[in-house]
Amino acid sequence: MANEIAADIDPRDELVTHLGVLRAFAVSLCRNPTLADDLVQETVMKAWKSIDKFEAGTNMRAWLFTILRNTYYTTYTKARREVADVDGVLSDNLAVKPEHDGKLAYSDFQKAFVQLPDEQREALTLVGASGFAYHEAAEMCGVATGTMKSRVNRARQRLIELLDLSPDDSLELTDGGTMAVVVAGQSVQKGLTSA
Amino acid sequence: MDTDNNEEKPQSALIKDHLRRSFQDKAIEELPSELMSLIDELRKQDSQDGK
Repeated sequence: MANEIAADIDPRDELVTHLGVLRAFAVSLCRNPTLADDLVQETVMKAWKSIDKFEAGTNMRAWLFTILRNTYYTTYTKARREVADVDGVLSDNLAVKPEHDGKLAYSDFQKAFVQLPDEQREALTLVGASGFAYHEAAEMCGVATGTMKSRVNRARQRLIELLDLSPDDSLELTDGGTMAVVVAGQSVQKGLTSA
Repeated sequence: MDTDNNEEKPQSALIKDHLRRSFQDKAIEELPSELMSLIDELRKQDSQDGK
């Protein structure tokens, strides 16, 4: 049913609806907004030219993300080394632990996130932020599902280290609003587990 | 991220929360005018090509 509905939509129109998340993914890969916008433009041109190859009813977001990451790793990695950090995002924060005052600041998280290796940042973005299942993210990256799980776990562990989070005080490391979200999420998870 | 980890640790939950927020903040930003111009140009080209 969903596939029939999707098949009625012009894939070019659907492509446009994914531009925002495509750009977010590009920024997480490049860590450079200017490069990210170039990468998205190149991805869009490639996708548009190959739109007839897209199979209606399948996951266009995964298809676009795959084109984008392939373009990034084949074309942009070298360029990134040469011109990355034009905004000083990295140089301001490398190897600096957050001086948090009992709360996990959003800015501290972002500083730590950009320090992760490419493959870990990508894994966290695909699985943790974009909502792809492990096997979908693994397929997009051309690795085994177990490898993807391992990357996510290593990334998560590295962030915990960079943010200096400890198991004992982590519940106090955020503001009330965030904790409400976290606690609500845990309640839902427990409910699902016990159901 | 939590498929295999229903008893998610608080640190992981915090990281996931910030990760999603960071991604969503970027995803809902207004798209660059250059990108929208590119889309318009591609559509125009398709129209000229009879697609």
